[in-house]
Amino acid sequence: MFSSDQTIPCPVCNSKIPFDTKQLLMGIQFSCPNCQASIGLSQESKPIVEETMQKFNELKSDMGKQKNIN
Amino acid sequence: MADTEQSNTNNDTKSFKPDFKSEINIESIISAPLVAASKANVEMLKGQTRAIIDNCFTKVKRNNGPDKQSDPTAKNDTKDEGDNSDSDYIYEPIMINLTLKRTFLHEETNKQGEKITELRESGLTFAVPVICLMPINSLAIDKVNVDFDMEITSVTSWHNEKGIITRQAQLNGKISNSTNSNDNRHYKNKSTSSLRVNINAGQLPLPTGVLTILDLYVKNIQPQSIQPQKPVKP
Repeated sequence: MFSSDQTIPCPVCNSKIPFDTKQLLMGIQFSCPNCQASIGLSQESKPIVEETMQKFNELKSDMGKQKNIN
Repeated sequence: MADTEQSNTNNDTKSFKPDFKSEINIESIISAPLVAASKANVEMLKGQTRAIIDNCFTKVKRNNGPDKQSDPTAKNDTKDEGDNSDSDYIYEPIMINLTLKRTFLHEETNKQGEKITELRESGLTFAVPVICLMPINSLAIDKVNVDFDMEITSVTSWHNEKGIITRQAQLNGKISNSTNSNDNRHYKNKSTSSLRVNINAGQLPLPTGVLTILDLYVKNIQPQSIQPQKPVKP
């Protein structure tokens, strides 16, 4: 249920900006390959993304446990 | 299905005890693993949908919904629902803020009439739903191999109802084990039967519904050029 190739369209030039959510949470900014605009996660939204990512990771580990049981 | 089926009427649960020694038609043998794989797919998709709804959306009560008492059409459309039915709620996406920084060359003329070019940075904060940042994709069963050996015990055939000469046949048989029968001197009464089901699950493209939701949000953050309004002539 998890994918690694994530992109978000650049609000300036509509090019695809590749990003990684974990690195966004670490404060890394990702640049648009076309216009060099950089996107980052704002500080006030960091707890929300962290919480959601944690829930998805818990779900992933639960699925792994079920797979091992079966 | 020719399997012996025992249903428990108290809790509506059904248990299946396949008797491979009895005669089974070939359609049942092939379809049983496929139906099981299809049900497993549905279960996985249900889990994914529930995870997305629980983690990326908030359930809020509808504020400006139709007034059931004053609006006669709304009253007719509603079924016997309680006060907290699903139609009274909407799912709002959890939004987060992303910051966009861009450097640009700024030219200005100073008091001495000299052109000064400097590098400036502009910033923009825009909101996107958290679902856009979650690394979601779809895992589903994409290949099912059903492998069995069958000993044909009978063939049922019948004429068509309209008297057409076409004859349809149905193979019935027993699932047998896959031992080689080269050694005819020794007969072994094997009580086991083998039906091998090999299932491969792979990553599939996201469901169309999720893609549509993402596409809607993506289009919302696209810049739109606003034309200056022309002054209205009196």
